[in-house]
Amino acid sequence: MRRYDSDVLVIGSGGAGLRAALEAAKSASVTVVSKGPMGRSGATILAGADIMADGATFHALGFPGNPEDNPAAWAKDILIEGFYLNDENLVQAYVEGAGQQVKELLDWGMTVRDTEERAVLTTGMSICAALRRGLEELEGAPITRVDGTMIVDLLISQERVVGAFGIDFDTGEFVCFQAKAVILATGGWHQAYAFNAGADELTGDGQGMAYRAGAELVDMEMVTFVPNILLAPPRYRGSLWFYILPGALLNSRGDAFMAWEDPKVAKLALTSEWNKLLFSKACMREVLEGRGSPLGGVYFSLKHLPTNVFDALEQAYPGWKFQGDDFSELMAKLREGYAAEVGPAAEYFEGGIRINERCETSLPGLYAAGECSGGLFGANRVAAATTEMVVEGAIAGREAVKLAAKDETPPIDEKQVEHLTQECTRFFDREDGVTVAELRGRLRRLAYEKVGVIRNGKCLSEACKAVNELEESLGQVTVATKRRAYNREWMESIELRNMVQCLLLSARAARERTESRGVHVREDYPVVDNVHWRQHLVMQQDGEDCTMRHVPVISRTEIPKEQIPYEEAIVQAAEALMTRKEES
Amino acid sequence: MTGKGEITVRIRAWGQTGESAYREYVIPVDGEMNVLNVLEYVHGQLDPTVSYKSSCRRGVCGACMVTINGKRRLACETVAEDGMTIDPFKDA
Repeated sequence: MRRYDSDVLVIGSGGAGLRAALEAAKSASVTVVSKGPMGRSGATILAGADIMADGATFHALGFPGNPEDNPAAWAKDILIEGFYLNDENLVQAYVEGAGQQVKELLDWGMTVRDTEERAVLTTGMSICAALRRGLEELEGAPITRVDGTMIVDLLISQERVVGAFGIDFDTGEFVCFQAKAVILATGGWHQAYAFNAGADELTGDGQGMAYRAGAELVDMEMVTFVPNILLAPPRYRGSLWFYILPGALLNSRGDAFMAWEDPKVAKLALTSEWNKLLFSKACMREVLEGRGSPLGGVYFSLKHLPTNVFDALEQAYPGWKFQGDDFSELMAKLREGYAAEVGPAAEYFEGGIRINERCETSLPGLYAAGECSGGLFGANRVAAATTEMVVEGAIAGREAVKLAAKDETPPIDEKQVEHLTQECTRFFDREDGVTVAELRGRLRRLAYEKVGVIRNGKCLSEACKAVNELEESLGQVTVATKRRAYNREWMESIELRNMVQCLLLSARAARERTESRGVHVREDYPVVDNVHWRQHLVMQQDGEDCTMRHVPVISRTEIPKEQIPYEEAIVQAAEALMTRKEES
Repeated sequence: MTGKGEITVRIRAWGQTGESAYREYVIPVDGEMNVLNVLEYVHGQLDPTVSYKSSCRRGVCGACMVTINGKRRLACETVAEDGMTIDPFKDA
């Protein structure tokens, strides 16, 4: 068995993982292990992307930005956006750390396409390239890179995390990583949803392994959907292309259903990432009330654009190229008046592994950074996830090194390694059973239909029952070939367990939270209940069972203890944000 | 192809016995598919021993580089066509 030994192990090589590795490698030996291609995997590379800091930081850097702005003022907005479910310590670390992180990325050559009050627009590719450049500048730093390797589980000795156990996809070999501190930077669990806008490797591996190791998870019911994702043809499925174009949405009757009753809410929807929540909800309402398109979405049209405006748009996207895709044929059809079918897709997970402002999880030796962690954005992320990944990555890297410097780490428990080896090979011992493709298909439909944009108690109870059944079926999964190298089905069997666990926790928490808040929209409880529910749901494995605790939000901000109809709460949030903007 | 119909492709995979060989697969098409969609369909619906790598699906990360009719191409950026021969791994 191949073995690696370093001070710090980073799992994942998107923005959070790279930033963590960079920080830790300044004063410790680091191993970065990545399931996808090193430094190009995860959600980062596909990010749109804006990266945020407070206005004064941008002003000082020579960009437009209000010099009177400051991290505390920005933090207040983030609490409003998150419906006051945010962990305020995490928010403070985010707003105070953002400026430094953005400056560094600019120094490493991150490109700027455009600017906003509190953001510069760049691309995920450019952020990744800047982080890779930062790593290059640490010439000779003790970093070992291991890609194409999936981590199966964390290794635990004497009740602390001491490493991880994985499989090399190309060879099928088991690999053991020993470390004094482990940082999870594995992203979301997008692939549990039939419609999602995430990379293929985003299967909740970090959340799954942290949960099995006994770590606390938080806010798992909070899932953001991004609207206007193409449902067909298959070639473009999942692309964000129509999310960024100025389209009109129609239902099957031809009605332009996006009517804004409140001008301030309209402004939020049209000028910020509130569009994700507001558009996704409106689209799903059409589908649920029987006015959807044949594929279960709505129609996206550009027919309202005068031809010269259409041409001007093409100037901004020469050849209708976006990321690596060429949309020219489809755009020619839209110019002629054709409407494409689009729908909301799972895009960001507010919840995840519970951390404090030092990115420590509830397990000694384990840290989490970026999207796999939870609590920063509360019930609704509007501020940039790109900023989250670099701020938390840097903090996790710094803290992990501190721990590595002072601690004596117990050796790996070889019995656990032996046990994991057996667990991973049991798929090869079964002759009959169910295929991972069948279970995965069931899971993905179930997630989208019953734990989706708009929820209710009945659907959520059905989801809990169905996912429980799926969990029981995991024991009967077989793989068709016993050859271990390049065995995609084997990897998927192991990923499936993580996705099932994430969805189960999410469905249970969503059923428990009998109110609506942010992206958690319950049609049977259409009220934001600040009397009872300014609380996290914290979940933890306890033997075979899962415990769920109601934990008051960490906050220094008092809000009235009242119950507000959900739609009214959105209007209030819009008013509060606009008023604050005008005052500044 | 962009409309409805079916295409036949040859893909190298290991099969249940673990021996590498080309096999033919018939794929129903409903709207334009790329080679990654084809690999996904074959792996999920017809033959789970057909394996491949993928990540971003949008032509950015490079994970799904395969050999199509002898040429190295990104599976996610190559439109699927009837009669293609696909080698998902160089050393298969």
